[in-house]
Amino acid sequence: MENRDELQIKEFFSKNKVEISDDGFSNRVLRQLPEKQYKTNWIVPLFALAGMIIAGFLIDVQKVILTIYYIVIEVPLYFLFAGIMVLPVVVIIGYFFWEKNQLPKYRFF
Amino acid sequence: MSKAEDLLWISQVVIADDRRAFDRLVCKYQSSVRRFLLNLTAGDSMLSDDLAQETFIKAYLNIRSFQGISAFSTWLFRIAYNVFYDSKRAQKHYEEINSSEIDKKSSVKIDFSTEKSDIYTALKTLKREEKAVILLCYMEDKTHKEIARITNLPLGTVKTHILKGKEKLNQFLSAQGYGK
Repeated sequence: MENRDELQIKEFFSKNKVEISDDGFSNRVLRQLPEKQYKTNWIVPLFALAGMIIAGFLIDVQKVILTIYYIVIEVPLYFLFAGIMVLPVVVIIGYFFWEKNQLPKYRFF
Repeated sequence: MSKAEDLLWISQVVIADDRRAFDRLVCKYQSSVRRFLLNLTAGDSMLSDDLAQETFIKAYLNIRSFQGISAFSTWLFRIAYNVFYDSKRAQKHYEEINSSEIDKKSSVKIDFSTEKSDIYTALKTLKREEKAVILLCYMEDKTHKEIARITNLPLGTVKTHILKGKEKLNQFLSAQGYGK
């Protein structure tokens, strides 16, 4: 009895299952797709590189490197370690919050 | 092959923003998504196409959050299901504000969804969740586990909805003289 009912429903749905032809639907979807933000992200590294090159011409690079070297030498070692250890923690926390904001409805599978 | 093919296209969209790859995904799944929404909207083809369009745009915007644990179609159906209920909620809110408009609107709707097919009449006998679950199970051939993921309902609840929906459908089909 139960099998007969199951078959009846399956037959009913397969009879009513229609394949919908595209008829320009996919083209309409493609036309509606918004431009993604990250397409313009190349601007940031490009300007950073240009800035570095200009700075290289304007500043005495050797002096800057030496100054940084002396600062590093003079700073106690545990300060340096603490500074380095803090970085991954900050990055992980930042990443956690960034992930949290990524549309939770669709992200779990 | 199908899942591997999907993953290849998805990775092309994610890495290179390849719209042609996304177009292939749309072409592959447009029929099933539109059919699902068409049945949910009781044959309102204009509304279902708008919702399907919104579904694919949301999928495109959120494709980076697809983790590949389940099939791409399951993920897509989940978006379609959410889009449909979001639109229902918005419509309900609108109707609450402007109740005089509804009478006109609903009369138009009845004309629009005149029972071209028995399926819309049959689906009208079901409750909201039962309808979605039955459609996913029998029309879109999804497993109970996949349906639970799409609808975000516990597996037991999905099974109960299917059982109740089946009972109602069988009553309807028997009354209509099916299976004789």
